[in-house]
Amino acid sequence: MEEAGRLHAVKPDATDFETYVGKDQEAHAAAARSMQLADTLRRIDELNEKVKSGELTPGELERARNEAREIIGSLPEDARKDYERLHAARQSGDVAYRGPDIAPATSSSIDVHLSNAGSQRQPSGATDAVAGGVNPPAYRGPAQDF
Amino acid sequence: MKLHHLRPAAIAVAASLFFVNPADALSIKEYRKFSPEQQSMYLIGAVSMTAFTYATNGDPVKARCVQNWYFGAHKGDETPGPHDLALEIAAAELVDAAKYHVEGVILGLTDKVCGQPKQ
Repeated sequence: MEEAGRLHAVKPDATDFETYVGKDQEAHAAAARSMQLADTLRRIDELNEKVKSGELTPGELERARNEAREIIGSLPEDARKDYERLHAARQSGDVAYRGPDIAPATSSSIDVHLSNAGSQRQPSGATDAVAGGVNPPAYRGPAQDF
Repeated sequence: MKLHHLRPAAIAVAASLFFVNPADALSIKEYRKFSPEQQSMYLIGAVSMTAFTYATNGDPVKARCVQNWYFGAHKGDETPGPHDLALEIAAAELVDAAKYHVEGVILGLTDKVCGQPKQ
């Protein structure tokens, strides 16, 4: 807490806990809207499938087309852009994605640091239990025989 | 559940996922099983962790970019991150929810926004 207070004094305009809370709420709202749009897209796709497979009578077909037009037309401008993004992704399969298997070169170098830290000789009193392996921490002495 | 209870857990989960076999990473299908509150909290942890890993691995510019994209540089900044990430996760979900991982979408989207990571 003291460190947080010191940092806040150094940079009072930096993002704070309230910022995180706000971003959490934004993410929550954005996810809800995206999922709603995705549902809309699925519904329209279902209608189109029914139209293609001839499951609808001419009257139903007209109603389905009107319904689809209404759904899309009722979207506000920014939501329509989102809808178009989802629609395009569904059509092309193009998604911004990088597999975690090529995640930032990061994990390997962090692993090296952790491994090095683990193999450092412990302060006096530590036991070298495993030859060539990671030493147990200094606070773990030999088991007591009670 | 209170926010301050969730956050460390989300960060821990997100952190662990960066260091495990990709086959074990969280697919969007699994991610959607969380409550909406847990999902958004998970994203905060995962984005923070992404920025942190870039920073600790010699790419502070990208770390800062990821941080600013999602959280902003200053209090009250409007940022595109929360909206754009939610939308891209929904897009990936529509394409194949079982195949795509949340972390992969974060990495792909931040590559698009902030450029490829340093090799």
